[in-house]
Amino acid sequence: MSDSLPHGVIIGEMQVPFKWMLSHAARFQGLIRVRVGGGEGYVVVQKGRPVGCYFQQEDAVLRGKSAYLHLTSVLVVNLVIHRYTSEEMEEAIHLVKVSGAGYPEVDALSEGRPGRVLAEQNGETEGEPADAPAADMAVDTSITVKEPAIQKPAQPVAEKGVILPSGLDTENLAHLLLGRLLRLPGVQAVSIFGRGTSVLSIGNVNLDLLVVLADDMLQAAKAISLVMHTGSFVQLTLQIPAGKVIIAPYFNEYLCILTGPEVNLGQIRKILKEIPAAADTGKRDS
Amino acid sequence: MLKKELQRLFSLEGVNMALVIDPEGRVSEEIGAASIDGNQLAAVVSFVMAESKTMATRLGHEQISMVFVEFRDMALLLFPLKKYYFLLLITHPSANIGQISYELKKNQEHICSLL
Repeated sequence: MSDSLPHGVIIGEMQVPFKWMLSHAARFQGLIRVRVGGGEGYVVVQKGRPVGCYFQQEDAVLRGKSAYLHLTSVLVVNLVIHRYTSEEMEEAIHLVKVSGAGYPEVDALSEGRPGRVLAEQNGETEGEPADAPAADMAVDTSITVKEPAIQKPAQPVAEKGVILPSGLDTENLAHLLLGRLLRLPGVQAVSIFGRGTSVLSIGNVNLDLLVVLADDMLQAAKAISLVMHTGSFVQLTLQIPAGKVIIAPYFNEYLCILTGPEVNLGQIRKILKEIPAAADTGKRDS
Repeated sequence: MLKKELQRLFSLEGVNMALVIDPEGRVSEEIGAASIDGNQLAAVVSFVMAESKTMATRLGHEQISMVFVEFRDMALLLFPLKKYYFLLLITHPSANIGQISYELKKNQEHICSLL
């Protein structure tokens, strides 16, 4: 169904809790394609708020609120993020409303009404709060929802703190990667990796395969410390005519940054130096 | 002649050691830092160069311009020369890498001609 929506511009791929994604996308507008388990779907986001949700797994189809509740209940989802222009956004909003996937009620959820979320997760969709707009109810009651073959979590994950793979700190993660590095001119993609595996990757290039090679480079570089006194590892930069590959410590993991030739290394170094001293307790003590 | 070129690079501010490493990972010529075992270092650094070439190839470029490995107490600059020879400069971490890199590029062709 998402094929009919505007494509926009792909700006990255991530593996994160969906709620966390929304909480760090306050100014984002576009389409987030979602893949989790055997199903896939999308969320249309306007200034950080979902305005349309859809999820399908085999014959089970969820639209609107049901889709949103399911996606927020999954611990980690695979996301592909498409940025929209204002025109594309308008077209997408129109399409999701027509298809019955519109979801304008998210404010109530994000403002913290756990009771309501739980009731909805238990299928108690009747008896909306008195302050719920009539238009919203019209959208939801018009939804044709087949019961999905999707297991509900034992506990509502939306009520838990966000847990990222490898225990990464979400705020620093968003601040460093989403907010700053990728915005620098010339930066094409950024990945956090450890032991040759990408923990999180964003940008125009898929770094999942490259981090294996980045890890090999890193291990070779760190072996220099075995033959001479170097002090802790700070950074490795591979420069090729097409750009640069930069590897630097990030808490207990490493950052791999892929850039074009025009990048300002000074700006990247400045941001890397601002990574909190907590990193010194990690692999910086190589 | 090669030693003379290395001497020129070694004289740049912040450079502590200059080595030319052959395709087998052995020191072809070196100058500076007597306390460092050049052959041992050359063997280890050859791996960095090999892995960097693998990465460059994966990115669609056989050619490497430079590899810069920075540690708290020193930095290493690796420049490919020709026929899998490469130049290794060990510098102080605060050395002016831009200046060193410029000087090297200026003389790179000449150094290659001496191999």
